[in-house]
Amino acid sequence: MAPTILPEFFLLLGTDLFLLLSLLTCLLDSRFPKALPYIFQVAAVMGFGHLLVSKEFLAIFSEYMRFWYCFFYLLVALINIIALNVYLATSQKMWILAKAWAGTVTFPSVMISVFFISNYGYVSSVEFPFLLLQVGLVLAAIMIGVSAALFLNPDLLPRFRRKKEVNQWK
Amino acid sequence: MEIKKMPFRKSMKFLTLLLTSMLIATASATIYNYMFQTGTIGVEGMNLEWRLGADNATAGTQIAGVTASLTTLKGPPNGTRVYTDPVRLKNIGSGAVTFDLLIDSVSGDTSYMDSIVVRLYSLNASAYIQNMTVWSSGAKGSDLTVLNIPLNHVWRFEWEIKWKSTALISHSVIVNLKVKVPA
Repeated sequence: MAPTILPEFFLLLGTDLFLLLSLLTCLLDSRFPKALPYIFQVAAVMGFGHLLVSKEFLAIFSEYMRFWYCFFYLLVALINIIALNVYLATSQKMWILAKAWAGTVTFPSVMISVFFISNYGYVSSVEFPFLLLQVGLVLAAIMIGVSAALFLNPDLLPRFRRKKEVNQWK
Repeated sequence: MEIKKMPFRKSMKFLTLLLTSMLIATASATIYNYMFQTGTIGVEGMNLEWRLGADNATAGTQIAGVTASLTTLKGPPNGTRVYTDPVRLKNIGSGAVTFDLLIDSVSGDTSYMDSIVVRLYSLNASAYIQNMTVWSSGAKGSDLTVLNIPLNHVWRFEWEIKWKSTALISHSVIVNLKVKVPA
């Protein structure tokens, strides 16, 4: 079966994620360092440069090699999204914003990436060192479970936090 | 609810970033689209395949990929020679195939040639399909168009050669036929 997507699709996805991060950090500039939107723009330009290199050396680079450097670029973009989520939650202590970020940026980005990577891996028979789809499904199931628990019992999280604080004082 | 107005400086910064983002995203998508168009040229599977016929030894049939050559077809002067089964065509595709049989060129000592006729027969149905006059009355004949060969069917190509009485052993004619798929 011919692959429906090229490995460079992951570069494109990574570039778009960096651009999204740049715009979001610009909108929330009071919570993030001022230089961050520009750093993400530079990272997106680097993805564009990657695409140019891939295009010029299409005949020389094997598909295997192209896939792995495109995949790592996407992975870096995803790590940045998760890192910002963790930064909001831990360093800034903005729980509501962190939750909103997780639901609207982190979770959809990771799920979309997992979907396309597993689809590409299935069609092109790329062997991953770990069970990517299975891990993704387990994470999704955990996230849905936690969300359902918080939705049904909104006092769960404050109660858990209070309990932790009490344990700290003991 | 009070809506806070975005400061002018921040809105300009956002606008600049938005414009550059659109530029980068469009340029990246254009390059990806270009790569997708240039990077996925595959090899198409063939639907028709040449096969050796029962008379392949006397006709000197040689098959190399999509080309079949009949290298030792001969005929007596002022007489007719028929090669009933020098080469066959088989439909190995996934369904019926429609094709044209075209006379590409007839060259050499054609002034000594009386006629060349190719007749098509189905081996599966044991039936006559159609005939093509390659050369007759000093002129090239007409092509056969929209021939429909069912799946897994084999057709044999019968060649009938007739030289004029003035023809010598040294004379020869080269015929090039083309099978055009899809018709």
